[in-house]
This record gives sequence, structure tokens and C-alpha cells, in this order.
Amino acid sequence: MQFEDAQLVYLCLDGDTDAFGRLVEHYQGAVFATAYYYVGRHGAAEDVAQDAFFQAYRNLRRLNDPHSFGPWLREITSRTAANWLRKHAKRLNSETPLPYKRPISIEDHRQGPASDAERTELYDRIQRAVDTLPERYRLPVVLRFLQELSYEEISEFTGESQEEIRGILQQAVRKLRDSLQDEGKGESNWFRVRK
Amino acid sequence: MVSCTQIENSLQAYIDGEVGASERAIFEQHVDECPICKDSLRAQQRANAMLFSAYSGERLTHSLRYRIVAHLPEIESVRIHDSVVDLINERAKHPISLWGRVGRLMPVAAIAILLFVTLVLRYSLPETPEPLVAMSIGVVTAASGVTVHAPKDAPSGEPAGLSEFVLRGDQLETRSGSGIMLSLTGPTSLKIGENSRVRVEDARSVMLDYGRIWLDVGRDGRLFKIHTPRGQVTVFGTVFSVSHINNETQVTVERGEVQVTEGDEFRQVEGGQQVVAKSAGELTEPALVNSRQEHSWARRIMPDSEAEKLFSRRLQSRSPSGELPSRQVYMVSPYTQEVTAIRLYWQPDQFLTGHCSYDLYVSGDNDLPIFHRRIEGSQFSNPGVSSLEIVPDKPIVGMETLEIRLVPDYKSGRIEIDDVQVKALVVEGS
Repeated sequence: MQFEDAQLVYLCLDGDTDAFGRLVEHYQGAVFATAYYYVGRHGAAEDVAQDAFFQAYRNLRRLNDPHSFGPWLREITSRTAANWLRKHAKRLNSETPLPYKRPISIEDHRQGPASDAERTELYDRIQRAVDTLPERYRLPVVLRFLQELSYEEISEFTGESQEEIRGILQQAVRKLRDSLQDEGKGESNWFRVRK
Repeated sequence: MVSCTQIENSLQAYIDGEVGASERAIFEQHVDECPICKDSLRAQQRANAMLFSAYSGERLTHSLRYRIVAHLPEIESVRIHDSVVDLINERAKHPISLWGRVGRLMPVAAIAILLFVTLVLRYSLPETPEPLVAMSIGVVTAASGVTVHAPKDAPSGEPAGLSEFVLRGDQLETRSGSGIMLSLTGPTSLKIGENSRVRVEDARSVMLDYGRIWLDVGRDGRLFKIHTPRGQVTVFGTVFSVSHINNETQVTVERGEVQVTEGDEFRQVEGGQQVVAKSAGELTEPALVNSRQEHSWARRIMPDSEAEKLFSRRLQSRSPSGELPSRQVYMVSPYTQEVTAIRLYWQPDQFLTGHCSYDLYVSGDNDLPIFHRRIEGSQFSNPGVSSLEIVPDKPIVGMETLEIRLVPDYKSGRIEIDDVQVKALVVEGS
């Protein structure tokens, strides 16, 4: 049984904090991925995501159309991330980039450090390839591949139709496929997906 | 006839499982016959594998919900005054007079009066006893015709009534022309059709003795199991129905994905598909079906709004969503090389006992079922062992990608949290 966003927004305005919890549960993947898209791998995406939810809660009375909670939350997340970047711009510029953060797995020990470096390189190449995509394509790609959101979930959050999302992801991966074609073969590329 | 351009434009939606059953069938038929499109599909799958692989370590893997909700009251008080800083500045500028001080106490007095009135009302009105609410896992939100609601192991029961609480082990029965709907914590909606008998084992598992049920398990990756005398249905967030009539189990999926297991056989069933278990160890291939039409009986069972309100007020906040990991899915690309073994690794934890068992399901391209194994939980408690090799009956050949699912059997022990879960799977090619 799924509550509509609008119902949950009305419940929140009535002081039901658990209703806001349900909105957090539903949108946390999208908000985290958007924060990640802006602030990158500096460990701040989670803080930005959390702050974006606080901002949304604080400003909930200003939401004109409770049916468009998703796109409104996306705007807030972008603004929160932009503020974070402004605040931390100086520090980030002088900071050495952090190594690619991944959970430790036995696989890493088995393959040794060379493979870890290769993985970091693959990540960087993919990140560079994603950066060359038209701007409108980038966020849906991150939402899909970072948090594995469905087209319906992406559409609820960006405000674009599911058909548009389908077209955007098709075009985006088609372009990425060309730039990444020669990679991947020969390495044991297991990965885990949530379904 | 569908053109190669149309196929090219559907590649990503196909890989993402975002095409309808008929589009999927047309797509697969074309790709089977067209080597160019087959190559494109493989290239696109590889790009997907790399993208998922690159981002996999960056993912948000825990819920932010409870941490955020815990801080909301602080924000609430700030919201009234716009900001704490403004409030402090305001007070510094305008020191509070005696009347102002009395005025400041007014909200406190109002709250105290409200609390007093609430307490008086609470003890003067009949209310469901708290222990019953605490033990409940659901509420009857619709009941029509001749029905029976019996507690666990009771020889007989009473007619099911609206807004009744449902406890673990409760049995619900319907006769001809009747129907019941339950709202279970999760939240899950369960509708029971006519001439059926169901036992609610807990909020995430039911036993269907006979008849038919319809479920909406939501979409947050939680696990739900339905047992029938013939086969087991494991679900990961979806809308579907199960019927067991004349010793034959039928599973029809409206949205999402369902896994049906009968003995060693298993099938992945998607929206608009149906599978049937006719006899022991025998499952049909998923076939296209008009699922909305099949479920028209379920749409006629409508919840009562008062009973739904009771559920959302008393039980819904206990929904376990986001708390329980449901399954781990790994994609492995052997690129058609022969696969002789699948190896599981985990981080040993000497303090760990009572680990749950897992069911391991391996499927190939186009969800082709390959094999299923049970992994006993005791394997994870042996301090000297941190990997396990699983050898299929015969080597797997010619598969571009393998999908390997580890489904925890949460009744057999504790489901592990992220840092002690099975970590990696490696395919050993020849």
C-alpha cells in the first residue's frame, strides 16, 4: 500500500513526522545521488542529502503543489549542494583528491593493489566520459547507475516523463558505450546490484 | 516487423527491465535472429556492467530515515521563529517585560491543559489494549460475505470483522462470494478471494492452503514469501496474485518481479507474465497473460477508510521498511567462457553465530534459470573458513552474463548487515 506524495505532505503539515520519514525513505536514493552528482567523492554527499531533507521540511509550507514534491525536492537538493560547494570551494581547490572509496572485499586482497589502481582508473575514465554528456543526460545517468532507481522513480524526482527518461538513458548509454567500448574485457568484472 | 533502429532505441530500456512483456518478446525474437543487434546488445550490456561497477562502491547503502526523523523536532522549533539566530537577536533588542514573561508561559500552560484533557479522554474511552497492538502485524480493512478469522491453532473462529487486529499465525477463510483485505505492516496489502484459506505466518510470509490471493508488496526491496502446497513464491516488491486451486499453483504478476520456486526448479516472472506449477518439480515457462483482467476480482475488494485509518495510526509507523536487507544480486560477465565454479567470499566474524541460510539462484542471459542451491547458515560461523566453492552439476557455457541472487532465509537465523555479508563472487573460467 503506497501513499501518494501529496497525502504524505499533508500529513507532515499536520505535524506527522513519520509521514516525512516515509518521504525520506522514498526519495533518499535520489537525493543522495543528486548530492553526489554535485559534490562528488568528498564524503559530503550524505551530509548534503541530510541537509536537503532538513531544508525541505523547514520550507514545506512554501510548497505550492504537493503533487510535485519530487521536482521541488530536486531543486532544494541542487541548491543545498551549490551552497555547500560555494562554502567549501577554497578548501576543495587546495585538497588532494580522495582515493576512490569502496568497501573492502576479499576480491581486492586476492587481486592485489594493481587491480585497485586499475579500478580507480576505470572510475575516473567513466566519470570523465559522463562529464562529456549533455547536461540534461548526466543526472538521470547518476540516478540510474549510482542508486539503481527505476524510470518511474527518476521521473517522479526530475519531473520529466518516463518516456523522456527512457530516451535520455538510451542516448546517454549509447554515447558512453562508444567511449568505453574497449574497456572491461579481460578483467573479472563482478559487481553487485540491488533489485 | 520491427526494425534494427527500433531495437537499438530499446536496448537500454530492455536491459533495465523497463519494457512491457510484449515489447520484450518482440525484442528477444529480433535479437535472436539478428547478429548485428545481438552485438549491440552485448556492447550495451558491457557498458552497463562498467557503469554499475564504477559506481557500486559509492552507493548509499543505509537508510537516512531514522536519523533525519530524530532531528525534526529541533527543526520544528526553529521553523516557528525562522531561525534561532534571529530569535536570539530579537530578544536582545527587546527585553521581556513582566507581562511578556506571563505571556511566554501561555503556550506551556496550553500544552499542560491539552495533555490533561488527552489523559482524561484516554482513560475514559474504550481503547484497544496496547499489548494487542504491539503484537499485531495487521488489520482487517475489508470483509464481506461469509468469512472466518481464527487465532493460531484454534479449532474454530469468528467471522472476520472490520478493523480487527491480525496476529502472527492467524488463519483467514472465505466462502463462496466473500472476500477479505488485510493491511500488514511493511506496508503490504493482501486481498483474499472467495473460497480460500490463508495463514498469516508473519508480516512477511503467508501460507495459502487453497483459493487465491492478491498482494501489493510496495517497492522498497523487501522480501515477501508465499508458500503453497505446491511451490514457494519469493517476491521483491511488486503487485501479483497467487492461486492454488485443484492442486495447481498459478502465479500472475501485474508489476515488478517475482521468483517462483518448486523443488530445484525456479523462474523469474515479470509484469504481464504467469507461471504454473502443476506437479512436483515442474514449472511452466513464463507466458504472457492479461494480468489486469486476471486480477479483476481483486479490484472489487475495496478497503474501508476507517479501518485503513486505524492501520495507519496504530501500526504503519512500525513498518520495517529499510531495516531488513532482502537479497544480494551480482552480475558476472563470463563473456561466453566456460564457468566451472562460483565462489562465495565473506569476511569471517568469530563472534557471529546463528547466521541465516541463503538460497543461491543462478540465471543466465534472458533470465534463463541455470541452477539453485541452498547454503546453510552454519557455514558462515566456522572461524577458519571465509569462502565456499559452488560447483554446478555441469559447467555453464555460452553465457554473456550471469545473474546470481543470494536470498536470505530470514527464519533460519539472523540476516547480516552490510559489513559481514557475503562480499564477492568470482567466476572461475576455464
